[in-house]
Amino acid sequence: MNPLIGFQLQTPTTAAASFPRRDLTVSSVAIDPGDTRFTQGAGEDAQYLDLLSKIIIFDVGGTKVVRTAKITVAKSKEHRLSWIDDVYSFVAKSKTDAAMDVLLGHLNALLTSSEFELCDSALRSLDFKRLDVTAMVTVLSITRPASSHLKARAEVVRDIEKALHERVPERANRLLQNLR
Amino acid sequence: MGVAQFEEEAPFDHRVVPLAAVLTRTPHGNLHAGLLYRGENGERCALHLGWQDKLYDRWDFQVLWAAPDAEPELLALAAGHCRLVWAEYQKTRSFPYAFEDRGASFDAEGRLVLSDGAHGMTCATIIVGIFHRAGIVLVQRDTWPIRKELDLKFLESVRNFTPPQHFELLRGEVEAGVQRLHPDEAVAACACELPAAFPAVRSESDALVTRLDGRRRTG
Repeated sequence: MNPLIGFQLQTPTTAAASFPRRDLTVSSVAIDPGDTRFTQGAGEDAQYLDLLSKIIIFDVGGTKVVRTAKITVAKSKEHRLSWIDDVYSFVAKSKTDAAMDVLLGHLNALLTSSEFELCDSALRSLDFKRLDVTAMVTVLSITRPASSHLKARAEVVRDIEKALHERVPERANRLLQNLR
Repeated sequence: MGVAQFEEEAPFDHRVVPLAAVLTRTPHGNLHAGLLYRGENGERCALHLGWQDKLYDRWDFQVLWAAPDAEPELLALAAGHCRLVWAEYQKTRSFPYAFEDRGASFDAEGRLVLSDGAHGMTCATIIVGIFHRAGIVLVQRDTWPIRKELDLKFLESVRNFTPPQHFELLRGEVEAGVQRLHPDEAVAACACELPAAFPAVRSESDALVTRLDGRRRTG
């Protein structure tokens, strides 16, 4: 388990909540004093957990009470990159757009806050075997304007070129034409 | 090459084509363009720049759409950039409208980045900018002519609702010889071989507008 973002509740109770999330619904959560819940990643699941912790509804003696929970955000580099698992997960489920949006969102955040070293770490840790073509071109597109700041990008370009030539040899050059 | 089609004949489906440019003639009589794509929750969206600080994600006009002959993954990526640009606009409610963009594009957060001498985008150049961000080069901008008389005529049509300072900025751009890309040309370029040069685009634009206006008269 990757404890990236968790919530810790202040009050012993049982929580019941449901949220408009497309692929995940929490109908009830049993929570003990000091209990801490974690998410597997920093992408959509983490955002969901963040939402959950803010608007969780407690059933106290038949009365619905809204309480907030303490949010814990892990700081280590490994944890800060665990959103990549979300990307792999979406790709595996053929949720191409969702995978792309996670990539765009997280790489954008790193680039716009000038966290180029962390962005390099993200690029180096990508397993291209677990990415689809859209995810690969997304990586190239989003990092291209910052290529002069990213030491890992040249190698990533080479890896993606190789992967595309293996997977879609007839289309690889068209895909790569303006993204190198 | 891409093909331009009316919604009634060939409904736009993001599962088949992730992104398309769309053209209409508004109730005011002017041509207007935007981009059709899938929104964050799967809903159909259309990003279009109406005027200064007037970016929209809904399209209530007739739909004549065209998707360029580009790899679907790149079109999907361009749609992702549309979502980013829209999300950024939701935060700022600001988007400059101007003819002179000097090849402006968007940064990693979907914010418009303007170089020296650039002032903003139009409904046409935002299409070019978003496609460009995804590695799809729609047009050869250096082949575009200066059409001062036509552009001044357009400016007169918008004078009534344009604040004087903004009007002067736009007029100054036209007087300085901006190579303005018209809305029908941004959409017509999608139906041309890319990157499209002005003569081919203009010819395709004339055909598109004739189809659009013909449909309006009969429909």
